[in-house]
Amino acid sequence: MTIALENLSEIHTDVLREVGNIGAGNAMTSLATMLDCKVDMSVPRVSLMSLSEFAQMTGGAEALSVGIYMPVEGEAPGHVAFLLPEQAAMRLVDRLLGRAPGETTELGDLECSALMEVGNILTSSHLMAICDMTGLQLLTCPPALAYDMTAAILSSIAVNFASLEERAVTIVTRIEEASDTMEGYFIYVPEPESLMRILRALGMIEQVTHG
Amino acid sequence: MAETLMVGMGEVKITRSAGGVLIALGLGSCIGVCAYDPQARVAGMAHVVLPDSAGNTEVPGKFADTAIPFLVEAMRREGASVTRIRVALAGGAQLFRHQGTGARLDVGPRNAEAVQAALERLNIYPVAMDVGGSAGRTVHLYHDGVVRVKTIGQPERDLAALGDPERAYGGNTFRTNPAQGTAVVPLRKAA
Repeated sequence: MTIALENLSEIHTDVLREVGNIGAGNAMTSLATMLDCKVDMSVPRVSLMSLSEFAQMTGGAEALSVGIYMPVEGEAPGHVAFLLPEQAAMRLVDRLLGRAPGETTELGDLECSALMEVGNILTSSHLMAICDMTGLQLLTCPPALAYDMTAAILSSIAVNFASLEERAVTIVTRIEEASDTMEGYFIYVPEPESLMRILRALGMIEQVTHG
Repeated sequence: MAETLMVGMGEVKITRSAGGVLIALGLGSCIGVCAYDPQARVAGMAHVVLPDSAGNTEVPGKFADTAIPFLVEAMRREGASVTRIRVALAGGAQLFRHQGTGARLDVGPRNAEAVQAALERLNIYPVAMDVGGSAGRTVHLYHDGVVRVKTIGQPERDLAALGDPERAYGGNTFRTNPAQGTAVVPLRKAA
């Protein structure tokens, strides 16, 4: 049984927002610890997106970004990704590789491998928090990295859930570093059947079956 | 007024207006199917997402096997003829490196094959293709049949001139193996 996505009530949206909050919050803490700096995060945005809306969600379809994508399996399959605009990715590499701010001007193999590593840690901590919160067992797959047009990256992620539903419940949290131009997006897309398992694990099942 | 139509994932759009342009932004593993009837001056584009509909008929534009007949039929209603339609393809890349288990990261090459197979069933053979490889693409199809492709790190280039009367309609059996990477066959003669 899956929830009719259109029928997600306000309370379910709130719960999913909290799931995003805790996931991204945990990832953000990992990032702040790793970089020894302060990182801020937005209130997660929960929305039902068509594939086209998903691919265009950050605006600037042709602007360059780095995306780290990790498919999720286990009791609640889904998709987790961390997306950074190119400039933000370069500033993050500066920090990771101990370079002076602005020193990184291109993203080659070394830079991408550093970003992949940090992306792996962030998406894993995002998932870990959701495991802890729901008690569900989630298995991560090895992450993959792409450095290209933003819409091309997002659409290549979307094909992995494209065949299931016309629209996907998408939880997006924007993070930024207070003192710098570093920003990024955590994207979490649970598969439709996972939505119900997550809501049930959090004691929200009655509203689901009767709503 | 010139008509600019954005063709989103799974969409099919047609234009016959002078100055009209069809655009698919940031194609990753998706394929931009650019089709043109030079006589009726009808241009159509499908933004194909996945290779196989497996019987799903709700969103014909999304899958290669349903999108191609849907595109041709939509163009036919605007006066195009399937025997005159000429096609160019762009997209079908595999962007993600270090592929993870379980994820369908090879969908780009499979899309390219499925689109060609669906076209072949209608006896249509692409006159130009820029498919496969690892880079995303933006594709424009202009009302005169010119197909322009943009890839990051490369200058914009013309992939095909589907309205060029000096070229035979259809029948061009140029093929490529998408697994071997990018194949570009520019049809425009050097000026």
